Formats: sequence, C-alpha cells, structure tokens
Amino acid sequence: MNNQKLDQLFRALKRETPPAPPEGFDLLVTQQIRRNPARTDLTISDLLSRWRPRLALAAVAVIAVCLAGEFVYSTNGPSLSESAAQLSIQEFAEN
Amino acid sequence: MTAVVAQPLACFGEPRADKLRRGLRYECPVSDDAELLQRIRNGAQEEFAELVRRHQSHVFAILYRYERDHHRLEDLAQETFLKAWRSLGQFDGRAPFQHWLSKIAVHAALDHLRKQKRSQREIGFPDLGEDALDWLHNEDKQSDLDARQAREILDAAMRRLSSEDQLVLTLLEIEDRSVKEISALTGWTAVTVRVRALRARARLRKALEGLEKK
Repeated sequence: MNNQKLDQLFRALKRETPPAPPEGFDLLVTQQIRRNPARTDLTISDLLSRWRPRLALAAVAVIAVCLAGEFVYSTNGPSLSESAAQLSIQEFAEN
Repeated sequence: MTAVVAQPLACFGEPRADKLRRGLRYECPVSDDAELLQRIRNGAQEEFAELVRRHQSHVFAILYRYERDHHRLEDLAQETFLKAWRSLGQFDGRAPFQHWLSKIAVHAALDHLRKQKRSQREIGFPDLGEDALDWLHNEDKQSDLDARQAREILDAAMRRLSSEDQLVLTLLEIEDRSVKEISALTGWTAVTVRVRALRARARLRKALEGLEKK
C-alpha cells in the first residue's frame, strides 16, 4: 500500500454526499428537550475559564505595578541598611 | 449536483468561486444566530427548533463520516443538539454558533467511536466485497474506486485504529480541514494533531497492508 493508493482512497471518500436530515428532525429534537428541559447553568469553573485571559492580564498588570512601585521606592527612598541604622540610633538616643 | 459539506471553521477561508467550481454549497453561519440565541436564553424554548433547522445539515455532514447507519446517525445528531441545548449557557458568543456546535458534534463523534471500540470484540478483519478486494490487490494506480468501495475498505482498516486516529484522519484527509481547525475542534495542540495524524496514517497503511494479505 503506497501513498498514492492511500490518497486515491481518501479522494474517493471525499466524493461521498451526506444524507439530508429527515423531515421533522427539528421537531424530534424539541420533543426531547420538552421531555428533559434541564439546562446546565454556568458553573464557577465556566466563568473562570471564560474570564481567564482577562484575569491573567489583570494579574500581570498588578504584578507590574507592584514591581514598578518597589523599583521607584528603592531608588528614591532610603535603603534597608540606612533605615536600620537610623532606627538603631534613635533607639540608642531614647535609651 | 450540489452537496452540503462540513464547513471549514473560517467560512471565508476558501474563495467562493473555488467552492462553486468544486460543486460544493457552503452554508455560511447565519448572522442573526446571536439574536435567536438571545431569545432562547430569555425563555423562548420553541425557537431552538429554528436553530436546529439552520444547522442540521451541517451537523449531519460532520457526523455521517463516523456513522453510516441512518438511525444511529440521527440519534447522534439528536445527541449533539441536546448537548448544545444543555450547555447553551456556556456559549459565550465570541465565535459563531456553528463553530461551537461543530466542536460538540466532533466530540460526540469521538465518544461514539470510543463506545464502538469498546463494544468491538472481534479483532480480525471483516470480509470485503469482491470489487474492494480487487482494488486492494491491483497494482494499477489508476484503477477506479467508487466512494462505496472506498468506504468499505476504509471502515475495515479503521477498525484497527484508535478512536483518536480515526478522528484525526477523517478530519485531515477526508474533510480537508487544516491543523489549526482540527486543533480548535478537538482541543488538541497543533503539534499533537500533526504527530497523531502522521502516526495514524502509518497505522492505517499497515492495516490496509494486512487487508491486502488477507
């Protein structure tokens, strides 16, 4: 069985025509629905998956804002060692 | 003769003239599905029949590749529409309704293939008709093969393949869907689709060789 023969097989199948839906098929479906009309409401997981791209973007934005804030504060404000030294001097002076 | 075929995910993917030249009639998604869906969501349950009428040919066109028996095909199509009805709340309207329905139909087909596979006890090849056997044994590449014989041969060989292999080959090789479309329909990644298709084709060839030797 070579590739050409396999392709010939697939080509022959492409010529198949699908059967038309039977008359009144839509009514059959609606009858079934009437018998069992329960519809699944949205679950939390459905909602989360629907909002997932937006939630992910929002999370990235929050992380970016926090990092930017940290960067600005660390470049303009006193460093941790300076603050600690200042605190210990204050403490020492009070005592 | 015009035939209704399973529509590609992007309705505008193929120029209209090409579709007409190939004698195919593509039914493009109806623009007011959204309006109809809104009415159904607001409680107009009977309007669902209109939605079924609009999309039934498309659903039958997808499913008949996996089920030849008319009664079982009808059951499968009903199951698809019932699933769509039950999970209508999950349809977010970001893609056309027909794409979403196609996904449900493909998953229904896959479940159906899995059930068939489970109930299939016989592992040998079924008997083929004389014409089909002639074609298999004929080395002449030009020898003619009609759709019925091709179906007979393929059905016999496909029994050896997994449900996933059958699905990917049908979508890719017979329905001419792109890897991207198959990925969207099945939820598999594009790489998975490519790898699965390659392996499935090799397994099918092996199964056909088994039929030839039989």
